[in-house]
Amino acid sequence: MLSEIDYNLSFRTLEVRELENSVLLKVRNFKKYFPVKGGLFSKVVGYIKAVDRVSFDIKRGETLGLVGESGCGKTTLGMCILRLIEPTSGEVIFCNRNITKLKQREIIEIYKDIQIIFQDPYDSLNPRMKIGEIVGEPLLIHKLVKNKTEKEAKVMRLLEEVGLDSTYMGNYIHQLSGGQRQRISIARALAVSPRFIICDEPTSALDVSIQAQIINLLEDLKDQLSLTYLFISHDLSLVKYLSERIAVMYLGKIVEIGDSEKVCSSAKHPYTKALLSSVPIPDPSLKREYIPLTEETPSPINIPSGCRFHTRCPYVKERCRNFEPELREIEKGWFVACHFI
Amino acid sequence: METRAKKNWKNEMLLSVSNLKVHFYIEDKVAKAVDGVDFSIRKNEILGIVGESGSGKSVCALSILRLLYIPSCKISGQIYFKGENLLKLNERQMQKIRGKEISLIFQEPTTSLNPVLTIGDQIAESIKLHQKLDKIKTWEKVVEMLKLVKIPEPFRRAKEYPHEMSGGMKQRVMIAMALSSNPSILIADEPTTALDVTTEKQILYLIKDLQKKLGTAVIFISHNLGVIAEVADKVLVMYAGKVLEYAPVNKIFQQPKHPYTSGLLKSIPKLNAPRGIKLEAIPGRLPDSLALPRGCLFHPRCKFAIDICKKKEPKMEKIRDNHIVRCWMYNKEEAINF
Repeated sequence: MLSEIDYNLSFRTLEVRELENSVLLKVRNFKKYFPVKGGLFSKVVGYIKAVDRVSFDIKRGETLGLVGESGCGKTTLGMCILRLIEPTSGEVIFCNRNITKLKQREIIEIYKDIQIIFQDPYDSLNPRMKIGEIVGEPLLIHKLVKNKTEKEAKVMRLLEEVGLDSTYMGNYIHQLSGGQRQRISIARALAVSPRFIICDEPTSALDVSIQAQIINLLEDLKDQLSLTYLFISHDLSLVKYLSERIAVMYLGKIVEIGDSEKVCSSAKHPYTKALLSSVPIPDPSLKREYIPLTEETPSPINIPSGCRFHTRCPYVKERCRNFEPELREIEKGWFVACHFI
Repeated sequence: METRAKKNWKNEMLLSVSNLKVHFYIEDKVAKAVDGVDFSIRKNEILGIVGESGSGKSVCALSILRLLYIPSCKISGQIYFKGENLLKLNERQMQKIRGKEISLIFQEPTTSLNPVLTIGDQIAESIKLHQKLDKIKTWEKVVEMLKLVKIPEPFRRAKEYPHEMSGGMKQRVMIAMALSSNPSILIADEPTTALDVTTEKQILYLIKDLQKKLGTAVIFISHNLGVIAEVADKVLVMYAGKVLEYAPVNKIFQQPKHPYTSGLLKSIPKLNAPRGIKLEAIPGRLPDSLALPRGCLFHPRCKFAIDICKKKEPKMEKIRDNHIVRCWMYNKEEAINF
């Protein structure tokens, strides 16, 4: 017979194991249309479809990489998940709570579990606040500390966690370098001990030699604190390095999503293929096939009919112009939106 | 020194820079943005200059064209172009070099183009400055240039304003403008940094293509090692105003000799590498140009640093034909005797 404690323990490990395989964040039919106003009375004349019916899951403990070129809606998607921008429609379910249905007051609760790290640490940190205040602010908002000494101790620990000396607490951010500032952003995000962090191009403003430091820090933190990341970037090599799965976005839609190794070695969607063939690789002896894309990315106001990639696709057929392909599973966990796969 | 640069020029060198120093005097301090840089470039060659921000790569490019109009800035050294030292020319003679013999394209095409003039007018302006053509001929040349950089419907697009074009198209216009007077050297300062990967690749192909077609020598500046690997023939690795390694592109990427070069290569994720290999970050950060470390500039971040590195600066050492490195590891004798 198991004692009650043992029983509880084994039950809990079972629950944990179940949760490990489970989905942390579910995004369903997510849309964000920005109205375009024009004419005499600022009538709405059209919509920029920044995010257009996007659905995906993020599993507990994984890193999902979201890649796409500028203007494809990847940052908007990240912001909409946190409702920093209000989505037009669709659902985001985080741990059985529908974020999109929460009232403004209740969203703050969610910020205890989900945090975001922005691209530019020069813009996203307040220059008039001391570093101790920046990192300590979330602790005060969420009432996670009782008094000043407790807050200071926690901030010190956070700074050490991200590899900064605790003496920086009294400094302002202009006294720090780009890499150090991004470490502050990470410390601020970690202050509430979140479970899920959205990283929106956290290294694109940094130098190459500093980028690796931040990337390694993010990896280490993920292991130590069992975090889950949504890693948004335009850099395919970086996304491949970091993530278990990759989602490729084009003009507001996910065109391919699957295991990162598989997507990078044998991409199915013509856009992913073209993107992969364009990524510069620091090896001059490497000869690769280059798939040139014709035309420019169409404006998200006038999204082409049918498959939105058909204007630039080298393999375009009649059907692509009229019918929009949906994401289809071609292998377990590998989805592609193309008629001819 | 002067003779060496001159000799280089005679050996078919189009441009030969020796001991170039660009120092900025700020209050009582000196910022050595470029400090003793040597390189040369032949016809038909693409020289890549790679470095992180603040390494002096852009200042290097601007100083070749003498575009640094700041009283606190002092340029010294020799820049020999077609037998003339550009640093000794007067402003009027320099005007004839800029845009005609040596052209420059910048990182951000949006800020380099005039928003209130059509792109055709802007290209025509640079043609009128350097060539004596009548109005119709000038316009024909504009259309020809736009065709050369593969802009579709050049007749119509020449009448468009910069805001009507995408980033990639604008960069093509910049290239058309730079090449309109058929210069012998094109300096491209991070021309693809503001662009998406697919557009970047197109522009890189275009530059390589035109370089082959027109025989222009190109100085290609970038912080992206991948881009440099794709375009360059020779590579100059810069760090805090100094050249650390100078070698043909294959040597730099396959047998990097300087710890900084190999460190950089190990610290970037590669698309063709399998997952699970940890990145090796270079510890520390770039030195402040007002307070550079003594000895080798890279020693505070170098894992191979020994005593001599902290005290004495290494010279550029030739370790093989065309492969020059600034590191004590390759001058063991002196390093051991120190």
